[in-house]
This record gives sequence, C-alpha cells and structure tokens, in this order.
Amino acid sequence: MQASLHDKKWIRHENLVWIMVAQALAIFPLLLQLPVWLWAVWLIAIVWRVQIHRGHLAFPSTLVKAIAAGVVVTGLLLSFSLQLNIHALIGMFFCAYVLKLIEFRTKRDGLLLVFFGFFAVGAQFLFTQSMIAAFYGFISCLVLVAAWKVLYLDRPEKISVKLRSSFVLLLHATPLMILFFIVMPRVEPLWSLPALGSSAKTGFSDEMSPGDVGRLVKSSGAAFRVEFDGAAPESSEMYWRGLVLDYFDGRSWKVYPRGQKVQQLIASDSIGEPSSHYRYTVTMEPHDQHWLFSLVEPVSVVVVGDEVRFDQRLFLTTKNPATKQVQYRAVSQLSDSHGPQNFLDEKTLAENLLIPESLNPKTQKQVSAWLDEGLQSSQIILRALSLYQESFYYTLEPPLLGRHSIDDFLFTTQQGFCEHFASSFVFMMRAAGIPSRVVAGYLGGKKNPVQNYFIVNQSDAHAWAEVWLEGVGWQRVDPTAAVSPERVEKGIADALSESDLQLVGRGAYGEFPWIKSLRQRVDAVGYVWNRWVVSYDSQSQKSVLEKLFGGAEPWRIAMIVVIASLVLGLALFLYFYLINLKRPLPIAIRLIDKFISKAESLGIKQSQGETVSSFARRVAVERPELAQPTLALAAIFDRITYRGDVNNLDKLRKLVRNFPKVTNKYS
Amino acid sequence: MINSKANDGRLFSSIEDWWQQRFFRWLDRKIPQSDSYRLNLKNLYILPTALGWVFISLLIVLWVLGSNYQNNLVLALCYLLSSLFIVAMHHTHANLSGITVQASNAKPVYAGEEAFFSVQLSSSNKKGHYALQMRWQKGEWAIADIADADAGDEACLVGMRVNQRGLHKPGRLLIESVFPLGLMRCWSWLSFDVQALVYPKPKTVDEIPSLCGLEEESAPTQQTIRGDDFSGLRSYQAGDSLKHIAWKQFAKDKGLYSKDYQQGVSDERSLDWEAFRYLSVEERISALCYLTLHFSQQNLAFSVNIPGHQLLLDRGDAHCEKVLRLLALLPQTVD
Repeated sequence: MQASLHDKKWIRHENLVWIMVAQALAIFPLLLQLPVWLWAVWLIAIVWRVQIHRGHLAFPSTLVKAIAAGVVVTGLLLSFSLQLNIHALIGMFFCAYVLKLIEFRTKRDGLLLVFFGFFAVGAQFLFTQSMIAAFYGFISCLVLVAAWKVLYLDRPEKISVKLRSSFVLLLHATPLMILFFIVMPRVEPLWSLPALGSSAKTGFSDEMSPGDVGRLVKSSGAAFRVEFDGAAPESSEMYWRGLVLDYFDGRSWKVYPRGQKVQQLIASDSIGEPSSHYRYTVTMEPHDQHWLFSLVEPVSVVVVGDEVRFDQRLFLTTKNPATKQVQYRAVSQLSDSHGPQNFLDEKTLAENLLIPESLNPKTQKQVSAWLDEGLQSSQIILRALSLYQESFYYTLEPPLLGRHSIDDFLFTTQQGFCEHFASSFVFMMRAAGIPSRVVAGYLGGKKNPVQNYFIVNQSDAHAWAEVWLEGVGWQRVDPTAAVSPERVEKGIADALSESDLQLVGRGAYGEFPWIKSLRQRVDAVGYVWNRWVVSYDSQSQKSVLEKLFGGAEPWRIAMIVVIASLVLGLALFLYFYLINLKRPLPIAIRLIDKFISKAESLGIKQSQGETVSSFARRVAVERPELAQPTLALAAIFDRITYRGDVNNLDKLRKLVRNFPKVTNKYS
Repeated sequence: MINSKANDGRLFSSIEDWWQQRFFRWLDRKIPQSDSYRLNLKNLYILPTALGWVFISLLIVLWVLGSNYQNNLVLALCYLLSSLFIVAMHHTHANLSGITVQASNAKPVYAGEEAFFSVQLSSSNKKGHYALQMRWQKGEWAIADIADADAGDEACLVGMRVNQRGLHKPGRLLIESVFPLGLMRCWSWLSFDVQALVYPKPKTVDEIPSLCGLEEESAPTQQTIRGDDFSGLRSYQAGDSLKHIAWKQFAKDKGLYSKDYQQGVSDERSLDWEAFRYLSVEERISALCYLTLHFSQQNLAFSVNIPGHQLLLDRGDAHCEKVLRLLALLPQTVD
C-alpha cells in the first residue's frame, strides 16, 4: 500500500522515451516473425502517443480503445486464418503490448510496459535460440531495466549513468543466474502448448526421387554435429543411417508406412561397456521431420523430453517433429550388418522384393541373365558392383532420366549420384530375388579440431543399399564406393570434379586456410553454445553435476547451493566490511566508542540516547582536568559525522588514544 | 446498509489500531528511542511489494513457458530476472543501510496547520541514497535523496497535521524506500524525542470586550453605548435590560447573556480570562490567541490575566511568543 504511493503518478517525458526505446528493442525480433502489417500497428501507436505527448491528441476513450483492440484482433484472426497457433498468440500479445503505449500515462502503466517487455524478450527466444539472439535479449533487458529504474528515479542523470547502473544490476544477477541455470531441475513439459509453426527447413523428405540427394548436397548448412565420448570411428565408417526406403513405385523410393510396430529402445544405463560400443551425442539441426540419424547398429537412443521409437527396420523416429534443435545421446555397436540373420518374416520379405514388373525391362533381363548363369546371391552382388566399375561416372549433374529410369541410367547415361547407384542397385537385387532396400542418410563428418566434434553437413548426404543375406542379416552395400571410392574414403570434396565442386553449398572446399580456421572457430563457438546452453537438458545436467559435484542427488545439490551462498555471503560481507573499515565515519564511530568506554571506566556512564557532545560536556563537568581534550574530541567527532570533515581523523585518533592521560599540551 | 458499512470500517480500523499499538509496543523494545539512528540490519525490515508479487507471477509464467517449450533461453531469462529480484533486494537494503537519521523539533504552528519536523539524513556512502520516503505515523509523505555523500547531510522537512494545541509528539518516523526497482520495500520505524509546540487556533472575535481594552479602529459590528464601555458578557439575570441582551450569542444557541458595561475602563489592554465567559474553555483560549496576535500585529502592549498566570504589560515578539506558549500549554480544565 505504501509502495503504491506514486504508482498513480503521471510519468515524465523521459519515462516515455525510455519505455519507447526499450519497447522497440524488445519487439523488433517479434516483428520479423509476425505479419508485416503489425509494423503499421506499431508505427501508428508511436505516432499516436507522440501526438498525445505534444498535446495534439487526447488520451483515447474506452470506446476508441475497444475499437482499436477489435480491429487488430480481427486482423490477426484473418492473418492466421482463425488458427490459434503460437504465432497468433504472440501476435495478440504484441498488439496488447504496443497498444498499451497509447494509454501509457502513469507510473503503473510504465511498470506494466516494462514487464510486457521482458515477456517479449522471452517470446523472441521461441523463434531463435542462437547466441546472437541471447546477446540481443540481454541488451533488451539492459534497456528495460534502465527504463524501469528511471520510473523510480526523480533526479536527472546522464543516459550512460543510467545504463551503467542497469548493467551493474544485471551483472550482479548473472552469477546467480548461471547457478540457477546449472542446478535448477529441468521438468518435462507441464501441458501441451500450441506448437510452433515452422519455416522451410533443409533435409531429407520421406521419399527420394532421382536428383533429391543431389539437391540436398548442393544446399548449405550443417545437418548435425556429433561428439563422441572417447574414440571416434573412421570417417569412412560413419554411415549415419536415417531413412529406410523400402517401397519403389518406379520413380521414387518411399518409407513403408509402418507406424504400428513401435518399440522403445533399451535405456542407456542398462548397456554394458563392450569396447565396440560408441557413445555419442548428436545435436541435430531442425529439419521438421520425425527421424533421427544414427550409426548402425543403434543400441540406445535417448531424447530428453521426447519419445524415441524404432521399428524392425531400425528406422528411428521421435514422437514430435524436430522443429528446433534436437539433442540426443546414442550408443551404437558398429557393424556392417544387423537384424535377423536366419529368418525374414514373409511380410518383410515380400516388401523388400517388390518391384513394378512393367518397368525397366532391360535391367530385369540383365538380372535374369545372371540368374540363368546360376550365380549365388553374393556373386550377383559382386557382379552388379563390377558393372558400375566399368564405365560409370560420379557427378552431381546427371542427365535427366526417362520413364524407365533405371534402364536409362544403367545402359544409357551411366552418370549419376549416390541415389542413382543405390536405387539401381536395389532394383537389380530385388529383380534377382535378394531382399534389399535403399537407406538414406549422411556419410562421413569433418572434425572440428577446436572442440573435438564432427560436423556433418548437408553436403554429406548420401544414399546406399542394404541387402539381406541368410546367415548375415541386413548387410550394408554402398554401390557408390564401387564407382567412386574417394567419396567413401575421403569425403565428398575429393570425389567431385572441379565443375561439380562449384555447385556444392557455400564453397566450403578449397578456401584459404585462415578462413577455414576462422570458420571452424565460429562453428565451434556455436556448437558449444548449442550443446551446453540451448540443448542443456536433464541428461546434460546430470553429467555436469556429476562432473562438478560428484553426483546429482537433490540433497547434494541443496547442500552445494547452501554452501555456495554461505561462501558468497561471507565474501560479500568481508568485502563490504573491509570497505567500511576504510570509511571515515565508521572509523570515527569506532574511535568514539573507545572513548566512551574509556570514560565509562572512569565512572561516567553514558545514558541512553545521549549524544556524544552532551556526554562530553558531562565528562568535562565531572572531570575538569580532562575538559579540554574531551570537548575537542567531541567537536572533531561532530565535524566528521555531520560535515564529512575527514581531515581531522588522525587528530581524533590521537586524542582518543591519549584520553585519560592529562597531557601537558592541554593542562 | 450504510450504517453497517460504517461500523465495519470502524471495526477494521480499530483492529488495525490495536495491531499497530501492539506492533509499536514491540517496536519500543526492538528500536528504543534515540537521538540518532544508523540504519542497519538491526533496525531495517524488508519485504516484497505488491509489484514484487506481480513480478514473481511474471517469473512463473516465463518458467512455465520455458519448461513447456523446453526452451533454455526462456528459462535463462526467467533465472536472470529471478536473480535480479534477489539483487534488487540487496540494493534496496543497501539504499537505506548506512544512513544516519536525526530529527529536530518543529517550529511552533497553530492548531490545524502542518508541523514540519526537520529530519537530517547523512551518509558516507559514495553511491548515494535515492527516493527515500518518510512520514510520521499519521503524517504526510516527504521524499529525499542523498546524492553526494561529500555534500554533507540532507535536511528534509517531514510534516504532519496537528489539530490540538499543546506539545505535540509526532510518534514514530517511518523511513522507507523501494528504490531501485520497486520490487522490495525496505523500511524502519524510528522513535525520536522531538515535539512541536502547537499554538491554539486563533478564533476571530467579533467585538473586543472592554475588559480587554480599547479598540483603535472601531469594528463595524461593535455596538457602542454612549458613556458606557462594553466590557464583556455575563449570564443573563432577571431584571437585565432587554437592550443589553447579547442577541447574537442567543441566536447561536449559546444561552442568554447580558452585555456588561463598565464605566471608566482604562486604555490599558489586557487578555482577561473572564472576558469570554460565554465561551467554552478551548474557544476562550482560541479567542485569546486571536487577541494576542491582533495586539501584537499592531505592536500594542498588553498584559495577561489567566488563571494561574499573570503577565505584566509588555509588547514585542518575545512577549507574544511567551503568551502564545502559555495559551498552548494551558490545561484543558481551568478554574
């Protein structure tokens, strides 16, 4: 009640400026995400409020405010075609925040605007969590806090002083924030909120037509980054398996919709530590799809806050699409083959042998010729691979293919990219009665020496084949290796011709060494940010707490926090105590306390509430021989306390030290 | 309806009064009366304000948002603002801590006016102290800053309305601040041995009784009877002339009085207790106060004749002050 003393007080010109600037900073990132016409709403609100300030317009009546609110709400509903997604909700919030400016006249309104501002800063993080966004958000908070403080400050001060004091507040708050961030328990979502809308993202789609992987390779950006606990496999062994494409319609490969058979992978804790296991953490860029990438054979995959499913094909999916960065921890047992070794159920068998009978007659004829020779499965595989070695050419820009695309590729153009090889290979296998399928994912990864992680770019996109052999299981076969072993051994940069290299995204190859090193550094910073800040979850928390404090039990954390705050409190206390020791007033008070206790030992007691000067007068009356030093002492003390006269501190100290003695000087 | 509301209000205010009394009795032990206080951990209290609670709810909203979207930056913002809350608590406390507070007596005022006590604030803290709010228990707010410790102390007048003459003790001084962010309120109740001398409220006298002396310029309402000097009023007694009845007082329902006329009143002015017999004690005092000021304004000498106090003929400001003080401190029951 007392605190609201001035809440109804009208604001000053200065408050208006600060609030407007802070608001502009806070809403700018939101404006980039919301319908363009909201810029107009904002500008109108600013012009309106400025005109009110200049006295050209009155504050709006309730009717005008209701009309304005009705107009923007209708506009938003139309813009979002009546869907109440998070964009629309943020749009509503935005309009409330901006229109509040028009009726901003009291201190209370100002406080509300500042609080809205903090919420706007939080809302912008829903769209991007980059380090730049975080920095920008901090700057917004800095100005918001300054604007907030100015509401309580009635004296003029320089802008820099205001910003500095706001910075000091935030700086003091930072260590505690970091502590909170590290130790506060992460909870699962409490309830489901409207999902974030998503913009177009790069990555695989759930079907693959000729040219799709080629396009992906040409697109820029990282697909994901991987950090291994301990040793990493050779990059030629890093087949990041993603989509399992087992249905061929003559042109595209698709994933059989087979969502029913969903299983949970075993938890990572129950896995032993065989040496062939690789443990790694993948930080995957958003690609709006459900699938994850892993090395074969995944034993355990954990995504915090989501459910990981896998089916018989080891096709890994999450419940929610990856609309933002996803971090998952996985354990894989590296092997070329996986799955059932001796028996394949009928349904799977049928699915993995299915080809359109009427298409690609030449290929089918070729295969039946091999079969007529009486070749075994493994021999047919070798025969098919040797076919590629003859006169095939690995290129990003293959000629277009006709209706019988595999016939055209195998017998006419003979130029293609990994998907062409994989697709034609699987077709041949199926024609030969060997169960097989196309697998899409990424191959390889470039090591970033700065932070010791591997970056897998979109340009590493790859497609290969899996064939099922009795006694072996699903065996990986990479027909691309037959035509271009460099692709597998050294990566895409070495496999492509000069002209193709120009097509690969962002010209990442053959650049100056210092640019490369700078790029690696920048990427490493971004990676660390994503790995430890954006993707810091209960799993990372557990490992961090174990590393820092040797455990993550609640009592241990509570104890750490208590001890940390005690130590911090003690440090602060000592700091202020030491600072106080050097201040004239506390020194004078200590000296005068000493004088009083000395005087009391002479039998003159200070009565409650008696000032130093009146006590000194009494001392002077009762002990006339001490009158002069006593009165001098009290006078100096008064000058120090009430006039800040620091110069006589030493004199006071001397007088107090000599107090009961009658010196010649004063006698 | 209205009655019950009024009763409720009285009930609440009486409960509030009761609590406040208890609280102050407890406070008397905790923070005993002193000439000067240094604000520190021992005598400062701190609690969140209403705004602080609103801010906490903002924090909760941010936390739920961050948790539901598994958005670490929203959570980080939530934690930053939580820490800001805690830091603000320390800053609010530091804003009051270290101030030395002293108060001195107020200049005399007339009842019904505001008495201003001077409160001296001093601090050696280089950072300064801002937006300090002070009031007496039932007084008006005053605001002060100590911007620069080197500039010495800051004197601030803290006023409170006084309605009764006499020596007035203002009760405890509340000093509080919500600076810098208004999230926390830090305060202290200090008790000083200060007082204000409150003169009676002057009450305009229509006609100056002859008992008190001659009036220089005749007041328009004054009734003069040739040869006789109006000397005051006395209770009506059977047989008094109708001409002498004080109709004005009768019309005001003050009872029936006769105007008393005496011959040969000296031109010596005097404040005579008996001159306003028809008024109540307080009104008499107010009327005498008016006359004191009236005479002093014209620099006339006057004597005083009040039960228990006789002052000789004198003039001047000192005399005036002496008389006013005497009137202010007059017990409520005279005779």
